[in-house]
Amino acid sequence: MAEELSEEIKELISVVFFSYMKTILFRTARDYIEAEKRRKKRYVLMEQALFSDEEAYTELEAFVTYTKDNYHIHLQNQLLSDSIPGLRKKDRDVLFMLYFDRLTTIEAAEILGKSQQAVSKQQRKLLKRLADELQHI
Amino acid sequence: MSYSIFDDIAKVQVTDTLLLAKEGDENALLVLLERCEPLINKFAKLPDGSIDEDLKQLLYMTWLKAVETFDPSRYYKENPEETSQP
Repeated sequence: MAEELSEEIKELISVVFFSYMKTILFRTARDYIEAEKRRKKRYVLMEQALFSDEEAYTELEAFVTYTKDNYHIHLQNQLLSDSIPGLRKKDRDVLFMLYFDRLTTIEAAEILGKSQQAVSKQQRKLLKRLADELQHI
Repeated sequence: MSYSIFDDIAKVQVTDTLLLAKEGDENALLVLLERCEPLINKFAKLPDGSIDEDLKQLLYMTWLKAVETFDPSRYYKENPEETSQP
């Protein structure tokens, strides 16, 4: 087939192919970056629910970048680090899914076999419980 | 010898390579990927100049899917297959 095509047609196909690829890759990168921004915004919302000071904000930024296996090493806020093991297992699961694995509440709901509303409600209660605990220590 | 994808000679070769790749030639697919890699790296680059590896992997998969989807026949057949490409 390739030998039958004229050079003009081949050039046309090449230009269109490259343009097509450029458009597709650009849209993919743009959508990925926008999704990342939305995820980061969620962390800020969590931070607002938990803390109100600048130091805590820095802690939380570190908090979300590490895995559930090593978070205690990286968390300088010992109180927050100590509070996590004290949570109920189902709350820890939600915490790790939303803030370590960076899942959305919809994605977490699918994994847990719950509705998105149920996970959001659990998230709110969990944050309140964690905040209350930190205030009382 | 290295050449740009915009060179006339390269344009003809890209189409030949693309047609072979779409027929299942894995070597042609790799050559085509090599030609498109600068574009993938460009879009995977963060503002600080570093490469986001997760995004790069996503772009590789997107690229592969786009090669499968692209239908060159619409440019040399009277009744090309229906596709969604621009």
